[in-house]
Amino acid sequence: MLTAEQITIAIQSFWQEQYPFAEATVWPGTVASTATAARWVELWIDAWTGSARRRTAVDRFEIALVAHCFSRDRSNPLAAHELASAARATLEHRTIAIGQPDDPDAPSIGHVMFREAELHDVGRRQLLGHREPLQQVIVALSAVVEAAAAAGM
Amino acid sequence: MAVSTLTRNLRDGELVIRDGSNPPQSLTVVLDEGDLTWTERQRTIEVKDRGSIAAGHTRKGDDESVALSFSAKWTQLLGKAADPADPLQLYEMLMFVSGCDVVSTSSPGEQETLTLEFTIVDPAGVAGERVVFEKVYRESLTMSEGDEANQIAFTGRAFQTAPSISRI
Repeated sequence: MLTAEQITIAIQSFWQEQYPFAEATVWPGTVASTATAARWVELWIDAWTGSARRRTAVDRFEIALVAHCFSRDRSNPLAAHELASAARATLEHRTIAIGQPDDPDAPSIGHVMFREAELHDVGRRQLLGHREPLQQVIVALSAVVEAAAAAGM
Repeated sequence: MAVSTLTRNLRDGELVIRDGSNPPQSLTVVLDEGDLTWTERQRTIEVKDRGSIAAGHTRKGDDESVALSFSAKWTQLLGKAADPADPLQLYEMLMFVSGCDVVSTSSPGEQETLTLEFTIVDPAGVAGERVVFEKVYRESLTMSEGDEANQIAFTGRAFQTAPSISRI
């Protein structure tokens, strides 16, 4: 059975390596002051949903991942969109191998297969004239997580 | 009491396919949809007396083979047929693809058949059951694409009037 820890490590490691603004990521569980940050991305795995399957079937379920992209960059009113587009390009249609954290050279124990992304602009442009305008774009993706199947023989 | 009154559902089942090798090659269908369906039909000859059922009678008709179907998520189509070191795959077993050494359970010259073994575990752990379909031949195998998963759908018949059911 795949664990939440294994899946989270796989996704966060991939994100860390592939997302062009990885340094702007605020990881779940960490404390970060965003009061003075020009931009940042919060990456959350919001939901884990199993579907009906046989007890003996390989472990398989869906996850919902949300990247909240924020920007206070007054010189670039589309800065949050840049973060969001990069997030989409990083994850959409990607397949990420789930490794064994204690043995990186071991064969993968499963995969995360991302589907299409959905973007929502929840910023308020009229606030751009405000002292601290905040742009926010949400990138939502669903993915199927599937354990590696044992040989059928 | 060796009977459980708990309802069974797709989570409790497991489908295994075996061929006629000695020992048999077997494949557990790990990504089936849990939609195995079979129908045991009974044919009856109605003999009516000048069109009247009340005055008529019935006789047993011909035996009818068991119709069955199931579907599974599609992973690799070819395994052993492409490389003997690879595990046997569902498609190549059902299709008796050359190179994967799947042997029919029927005699040479007859239609190619397999054995399907469906095990239903009792959730209470009291009285599991095994349903064995012998001499299962393929009528159709339909491969289709899908958003969540591609599918392989099998329909066929077991050349027997009813599967054998036993308690395990």
